[in-house]
Amino acid sequence: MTCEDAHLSMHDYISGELAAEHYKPLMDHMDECMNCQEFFRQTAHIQTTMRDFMLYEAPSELQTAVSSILANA
Amino acid sequence: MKSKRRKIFEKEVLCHLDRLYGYAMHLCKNGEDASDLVQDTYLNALKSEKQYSIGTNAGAWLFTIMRNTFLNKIRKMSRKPAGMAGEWIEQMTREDISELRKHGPDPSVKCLDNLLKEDIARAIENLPDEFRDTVILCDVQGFSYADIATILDIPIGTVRSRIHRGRLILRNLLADWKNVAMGGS
Ligand SMILES: [Zn+2]
Repeated sequence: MTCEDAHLSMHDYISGELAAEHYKPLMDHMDECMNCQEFFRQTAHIQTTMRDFMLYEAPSELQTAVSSILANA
Repeated sequence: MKSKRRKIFEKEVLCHLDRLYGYAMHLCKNGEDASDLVQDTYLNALKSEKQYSIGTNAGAWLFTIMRNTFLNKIRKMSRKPAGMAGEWIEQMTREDISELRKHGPDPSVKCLDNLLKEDIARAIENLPDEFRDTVILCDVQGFSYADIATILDIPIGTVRSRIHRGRLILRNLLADWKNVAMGGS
């Protein structure tokens, strides 16, 4: 597996979209290739951080408003 | 008296409220407009309730409605969505990718731990709309490529390449800033 292929696979892996047959080749490549391993770690880290920062809880007034929209329809 | 179908429908759509609000915050950039957009989305969802089959994918269905509702709103206000990808970003990602092909990822980028909320927010703001939407739907909202293709009405291959390139741009922006902050070149 080339670094370019590894990149395609690792993005799909991070997205939860990697086909099962590509998993082992990706892991084997990353065992050998420190650059890809680091890139993978960074990309996964950015994703987790972004997710932590950008998840919201709807304000309670909105929850009430939406419940009444559904109830009164 | 509400039908059983209707009760299940309400339950299925209501459990996506927080996610919808999060996406609305991203689209509108302020809480008031975001709350309005969420309410309009639910109103529109109710109007097309019959198009939804119970037990299928309520999340993707609601996000599609929200996106269309939002686009109609800004069309009415005759405002264009800002920041479509210009030539510069095409150029930048082309260079990044050909660089990647030749040498693998830049090993000098080592300092992306401890990212700050402000850095992430600024990097996301700097992404052109089409990359940003796709990355957020995938990385924050956790949708599959197929769902994102439905929500954004684009081919699945485009979803995939926008996610790859969007993440790469994000990482490179963050790396540049970190590098400057650490006194690197
Ligand atoms: Zn590699």
